[in-house]
Amino acid sequence: MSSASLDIATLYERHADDLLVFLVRRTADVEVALDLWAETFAQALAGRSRYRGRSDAEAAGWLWTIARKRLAMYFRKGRAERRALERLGLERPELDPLIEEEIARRAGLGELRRELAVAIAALSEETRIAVRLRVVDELPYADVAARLSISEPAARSRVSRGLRALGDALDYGPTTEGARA
Amino acid sequence: MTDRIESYDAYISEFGRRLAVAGKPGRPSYARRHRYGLLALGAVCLVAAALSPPGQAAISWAGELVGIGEVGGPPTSDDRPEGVSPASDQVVIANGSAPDGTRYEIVVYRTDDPVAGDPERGSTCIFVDFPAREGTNGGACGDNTFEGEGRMFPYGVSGPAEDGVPENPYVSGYVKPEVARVTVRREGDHGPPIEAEVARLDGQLQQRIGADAPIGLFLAFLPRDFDVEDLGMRGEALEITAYDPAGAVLERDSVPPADQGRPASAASEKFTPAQQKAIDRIPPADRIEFEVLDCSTIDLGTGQTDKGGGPTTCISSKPSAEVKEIAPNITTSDIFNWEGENGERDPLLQAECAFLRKAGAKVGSYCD
Repeated sequence: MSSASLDIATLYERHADDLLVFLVRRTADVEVALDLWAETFAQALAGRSRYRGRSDAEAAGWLWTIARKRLAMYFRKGRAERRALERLGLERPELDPLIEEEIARRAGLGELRRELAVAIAALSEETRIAVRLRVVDELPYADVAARLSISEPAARSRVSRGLRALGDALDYGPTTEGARA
Repeated sequence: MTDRIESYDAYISEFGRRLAVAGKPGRPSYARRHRYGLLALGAVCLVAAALSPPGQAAISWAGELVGIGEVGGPPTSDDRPEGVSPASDQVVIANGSAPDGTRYEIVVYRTDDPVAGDPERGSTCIFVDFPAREGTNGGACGDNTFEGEGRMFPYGVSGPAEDGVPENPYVSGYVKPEVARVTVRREGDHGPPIEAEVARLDGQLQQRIGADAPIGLFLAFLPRDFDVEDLGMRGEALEITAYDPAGAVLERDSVPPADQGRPASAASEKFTPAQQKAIDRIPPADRIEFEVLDCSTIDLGTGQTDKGGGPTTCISSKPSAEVKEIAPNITTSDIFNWEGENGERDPLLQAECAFLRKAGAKVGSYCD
């Protein structure tokens, strides 16, 4: 797969399922994961002219890097971006309960939620509160810092520590990123 | 169980199909428009004079046989993307010349493909084509996104390009059919606005292609020094205002949208456009400086040390001297919240992670 012939359709065919499972397991939210998943492929399509790889493995790595960046951005901002989708005039299909159920089943979401509950309970109280303020309540770091009466760098450190811990819990599942990318 | 799996497979297939359609060459899309950065304008009145008034365009079409590329006639080139199901002829609703003399045509057609909204309804596609420049058309297809509702839909900035060098940048989009005048102004510019050309799909022409409702379209060529980078979503913003025949404001909007591709709203209010542009020119990773702190002794603001379960490395971050020189009141938060077309937080995250790794920290999945 040369840079001149990057085939998004083939990338999609090979990675759509696994990428979705990965994102569901990282976010524990099917809707959010689908937004990130769709935006990942839209970004891959929109940015394919910038792809410089030569092999299938490089193409896969490139795609998964886009996905990880979208995920990191989601954790930072607390919302899934849709810029490439909007630019392309692309919409993902509407989700219905049947499909949501199947995606959750493939990702092992029920079990994952139980694991997450354990992981969250294992966080220190101060870390748990910081993660909740940032990720659940979607507060800017400045506000998280103000609420906790700590400096902003300390708030960032605390949240990132919590997310790392939760991320470690989310790394285990029916399929893993490492096995695919 | 089977239904569930089939529904899932159909879902995955459907998005794959949409992705494939979006990637077709020649598709009039938001993305294609943005492929060609920006350049210039010199003669706004030249453009305005070159276009046919919308009312006259419809009458001309109804009353006489018109030629290729003329209003009411077929376009000079067929730029419909592969895979689009045509439900009507392509028809030129306006034409003229860009500031450098490049001819353009505003073309409409109907398709059976539901690009957005109700899948039972087709879509109307409108795009600006430069017949002499292959692959430079840009536009959009849609149904209830703008038809009938008449919401302003400025879909972007682009321009025909030679070898990737953009020329004749323009902004275009949709407006309510009753809009008579559209002006475009660079955000913060208090000089005379750019007068856009307004074309309209209505009356017999609308019936001819089977559009559900009349649509207005505006097109304005932009100054050469207008600053838009990469896909056209960064740099300066444009304020677009639509007026009714009596001069009353009907709609206002901006390109890029106020919540996209621009510095965060807080930053917009806090910094001047010149400061924002200057900071945008600094590589993101150079906007911030990190410093290692001693976790075992540092007071993180709680009056307690961060022992036990804490990070192996503590760092502080502050705006770099280069950034502070431009904006003395900038904060670390401003920098982390700064948004750009290519996701400038990614380089910041990378810089943070690179520093942490260099300092021997266990960064884990946060930096994957």
